[in-house]
Amino acid sequence: MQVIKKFLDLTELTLSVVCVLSFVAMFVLGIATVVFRFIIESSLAFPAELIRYLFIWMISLGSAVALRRNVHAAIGVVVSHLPAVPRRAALVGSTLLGIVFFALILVAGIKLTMRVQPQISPALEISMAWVYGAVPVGMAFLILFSLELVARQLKAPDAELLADGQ
Amino acid sequence: MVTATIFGSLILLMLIRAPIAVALGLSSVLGLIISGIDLQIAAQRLLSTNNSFPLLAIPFFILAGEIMSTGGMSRRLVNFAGSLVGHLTGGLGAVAILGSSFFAALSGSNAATVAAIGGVMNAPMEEKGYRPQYTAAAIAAAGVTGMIIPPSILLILYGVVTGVSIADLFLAGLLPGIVICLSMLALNWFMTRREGIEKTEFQGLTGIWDSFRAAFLPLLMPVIILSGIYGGVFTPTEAAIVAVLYGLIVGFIYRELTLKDLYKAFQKAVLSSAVVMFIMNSAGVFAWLITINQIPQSISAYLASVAGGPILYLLLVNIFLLFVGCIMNAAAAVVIFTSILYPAAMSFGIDPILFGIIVSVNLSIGTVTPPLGVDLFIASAITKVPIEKIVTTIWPYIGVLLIDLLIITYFPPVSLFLVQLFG
Repeated sequence: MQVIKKFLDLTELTLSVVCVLSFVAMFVLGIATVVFRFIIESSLAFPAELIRYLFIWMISLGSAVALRRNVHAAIGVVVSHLPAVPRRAALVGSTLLGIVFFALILVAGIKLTMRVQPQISPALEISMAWVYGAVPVGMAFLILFSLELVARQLKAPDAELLADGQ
Repeated sequence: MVTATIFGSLILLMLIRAPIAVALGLSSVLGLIISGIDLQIAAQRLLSTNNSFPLLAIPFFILAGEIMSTGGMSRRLVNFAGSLVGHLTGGLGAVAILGSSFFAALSGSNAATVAAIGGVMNAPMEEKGYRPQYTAAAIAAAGVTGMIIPPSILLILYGVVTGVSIADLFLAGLLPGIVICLSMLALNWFMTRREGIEKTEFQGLTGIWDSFRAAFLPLLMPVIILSGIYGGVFTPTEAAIVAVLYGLIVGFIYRELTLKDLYKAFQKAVLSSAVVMFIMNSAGVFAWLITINQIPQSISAYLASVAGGPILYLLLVNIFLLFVGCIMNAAAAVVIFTSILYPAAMSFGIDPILFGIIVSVNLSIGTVTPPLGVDLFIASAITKVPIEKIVTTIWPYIGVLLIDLLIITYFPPVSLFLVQLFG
């Protein structure tokens, strides 16, 4: 059990570092686009495109990190007024339904990524699969962290069930 | 059938505390399955929402706000506000309110504003004899200007959803933000008159000058951003990028920003952006699905027939959004409900910019109302006053905010005067 937790901690840390590095790159490229627009009075197409693609990856992976930290916005007011047993059932149920959603999008995202492989992005001229791949990869991490969340929701004592997040 | 499935599952999922993004996404997926539409559309929509340059203003403004609150700049703004109003009755309460409005011009969110200013004001207010309960209420309420005074995450989201110019929305938010700030200053004076609080001494004009000079660089930032956007020098996204750069430079000039702070600021901004965008992406799928099913149009037609005219319609919108704001995250609410409420507003000839301000003020008030006001949670964490106690003290503030809301709703020049002046 301890090994699994360590593995997940490491995964979360890696994702988080990748997100920060993408953000830093987005910022540097952003400054470059602004400067270029002033100096040569026309914006370069490729940094603007790369910023958007990095943003897509940052949000896909960042959403998974946010799920593990339990910071995603949700309406907890109803659940927190339920008695212990239905409360646990509701929370476990919502996490399982979340996994269903992520899995459906994971499958659809893989199909989509394979389909767009021949398409080439306008400025960077890379395969669009590099961009669309962010969807299934993000979903895979969301599923991974949701499974851990279900395990915790099943085991946690009643008092701690809602202690995290908002 | 499709409509019932989408909305039924959406409400059910939200009630059992599924993340709002998951509730929006899964209910849309169910609607797609029933309609026999391939789910690849959902995957594509999830991503295409993100693939937008104007939306990039959100992560960068969030990052700029995080850098500003770590770089010791909130303290400088508080000191300047203190030299201006600290000696008046209820001076430190006024400092918290004015300081929050200054900070709101650097940051696009209420939560960041409450955290930054509340963190600085809590100890001095307690020292001077303010009840912790009152301190908590004042710093929470003062945060409301965060998403009204530009830059504002809500206004960016509204602009992206409707196609209304974000630059115009920012300009329109300025005066309503000032009106709210002044009305809260008045209430603070009224409420603190009888508290028997020890006053701070007036530092004189030299005190004002000294603290102004110390706060000059942070105060210059909103001037650069706003004049850059209206002068046509920057797009809002470029302004957000410049704001980050400016925050970094000022932080290093003051030597108050360490690399560790910087990493934390980036990390926090990644999470906050992911939370907003995760909802925005799922809402992209949801909005597309309900639009092809003509749902916003039918709701609009229904609302139009019930309301009959713009005055009653705006009243209904205000009541509805205040209720929504009580239970739902503001960014999620603006994304979900704008596409539903906007068409009817247009059919009544309501100004699209004014409507954006009305939506934002409503949902900003939602951040200080129980049970789900995010400002209350943060103020409670800072002051260690339980939320139930803050709620008993914050009601007068909410009352004043509601009066402001009515003024902003039914007296359009408050929002539109500057837009017409510069537009």
